[in-house]
Amino acid sequence: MNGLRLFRIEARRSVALWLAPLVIGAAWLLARNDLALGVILWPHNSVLARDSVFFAGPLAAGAGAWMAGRDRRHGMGELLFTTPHVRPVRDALIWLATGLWIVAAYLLAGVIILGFTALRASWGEPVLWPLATGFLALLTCAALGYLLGRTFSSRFTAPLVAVGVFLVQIGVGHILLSNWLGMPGWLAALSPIVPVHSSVWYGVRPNIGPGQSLFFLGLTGLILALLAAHDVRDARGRVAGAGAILLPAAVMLAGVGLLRDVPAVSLSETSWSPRWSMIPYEPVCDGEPVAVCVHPAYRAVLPDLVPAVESMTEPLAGASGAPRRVEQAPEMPLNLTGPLAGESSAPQVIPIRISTYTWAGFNATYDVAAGLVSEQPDSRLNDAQAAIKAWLLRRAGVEIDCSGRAQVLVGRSVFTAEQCAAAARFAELDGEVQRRWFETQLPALRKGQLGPELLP
Amino acid sequence: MRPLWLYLRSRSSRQALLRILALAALTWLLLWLGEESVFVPLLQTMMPVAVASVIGLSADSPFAELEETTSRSRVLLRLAHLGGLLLVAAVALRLGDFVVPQPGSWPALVRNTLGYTGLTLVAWRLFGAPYSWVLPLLYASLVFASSGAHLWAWPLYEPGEQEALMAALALLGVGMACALSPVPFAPAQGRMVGARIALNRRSGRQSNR
Repeated sequence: MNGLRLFRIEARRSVALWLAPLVIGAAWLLARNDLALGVILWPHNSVLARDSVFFAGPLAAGAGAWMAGRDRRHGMGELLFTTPHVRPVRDALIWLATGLWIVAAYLLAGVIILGFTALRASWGEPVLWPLATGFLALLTCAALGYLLGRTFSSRFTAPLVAVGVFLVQIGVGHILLSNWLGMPGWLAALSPIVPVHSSVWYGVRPNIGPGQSLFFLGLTGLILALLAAHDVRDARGRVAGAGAILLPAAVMLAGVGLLRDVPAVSLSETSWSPRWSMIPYEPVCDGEPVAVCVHPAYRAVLPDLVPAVESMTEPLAGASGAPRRVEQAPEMPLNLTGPLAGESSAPQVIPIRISTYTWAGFNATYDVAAGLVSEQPDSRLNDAQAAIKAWLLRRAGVEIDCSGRAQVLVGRSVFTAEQCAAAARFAELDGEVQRRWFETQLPALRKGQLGPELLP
Repeated sequence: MRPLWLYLRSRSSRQALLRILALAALTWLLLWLGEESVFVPLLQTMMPVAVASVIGLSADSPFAELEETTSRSRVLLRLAHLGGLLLVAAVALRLGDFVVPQPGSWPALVRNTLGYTGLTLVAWRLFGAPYSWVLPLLYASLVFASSGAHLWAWPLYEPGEQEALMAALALLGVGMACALSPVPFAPAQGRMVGARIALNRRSGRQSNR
């Protein structure tokens, strides 16, 4: 029986065959919110195509472990010793057949995401290294699972390996970024799902593709060499096995060396300023008298955003200290927490975030309302500011939550019942009374010097 | 007593028990080490999947078809087996509160273990043992990736949230009903095997199974 035929048989018998549709379905579930946005961007979706590794990696590892222990669990281990194929070749073919099903599903999901992006993208160009490193990482996960399944041949191995891989890739990729237990942040780049920056201001950075590719390639080779060495009995074989282990180990270390040189990016350093140069752009603006300016890639949000901003700024028109301009702030690298980059020091400019993770207009409307009532919109608002903010958000058509519970549900802002009651009282006032109140009280309100008792 | 003992042995219950205790100890250790905001939701979501998968895989037996021919009902045996493992898992995880006091984490871990066990048993009945861990793992991955603001992301809810507890108990109820019912073992798995045989026949080769 030649190797190709054995590969075909193993591919047909593989447990991964039935996991492949699940990978595609889960990738769609994970990506559908991003693909439904009004703004489709190449940098963001290039990384999104890779993010299926999040669950496909553990599945590949679990499938590998299951396939590795299959023969022994079925009591066929000794029988297969009598076949002419040497064990390492059979192991490699089973691993390849298992890994390739998951890889095929991952690539198909990636092609769907990137194809959709090609049709709808408003900015940027495809970046393929994230998809390629995901491809190699899946083969590594399958090999790791296979090695563990071969070593611990039990029915319980597969799920434990899968959960273990999930924990390790999240632990390394996300938790090490914050220098957990004093460990260096660059170690996070060893995870295939490490967050990389993917905004239109800086592109997909840092470029860890070459380092990660070498690391995963070397690690896969090392695992396969260890598998082959498992069955070696004679001294010559051991020498050859040692040689076979050294080469992939060197490749892996070369990858680690490249990753060490990547500029350290740490979530704990929220004021970290990127060393990369910003991709030049000219903002596009719309709206009168308050101009709403965004990056040209986000031009599509203006028709929704401008009327919302106008409905909030209209009662404040002419008041002293009222903001004159609303401007989209550049996203910080690894924008998972914290402050806006490029936050303007001028109090009459409101910086807004337009996140690709939620409905594009929601964050922006929220930021505008906060910026209108406070000179430090990121700090905690007092009751008077919160009440006026609730009133402004209602004017813009944003649904608000008056339960006061400390949780933010999608598409809602949370206020206390007292703040909502004050907002309702303010809403009942005549438009001219509201305007006169803003003319006299807006500077004090924005400085946070106004108590709730001073609200009309 | 002897049928129960034999039943437990045929399900690798001792190995399952050891793994459950080891997983609980690992959870204690990781919660003790990690104070990160990502760490607690990660463990809260994924460690119960591992425990539930062990319980689900322990429900399988190579003699299941043979056992179907016996005249004696095995509902009580199954209940004692699965309920016993669940009880040990719940107690072992809850005891963590005395080792690593983290108000909120441990009740959520127990609740999620109950819910995921139900999901695993449903998957075990529908797809068979080899695939029983896949459904809870994928579900937990999607829950972890979500913002936690949807009802289906109940594993990320605070322990006091009644909706999450009800969802977990409902899943456990459905899963136990699936596991205890006398319906022939994993009909869907049979269909999958049938599809695989048909695939092999179409390609003109003898099935390798």
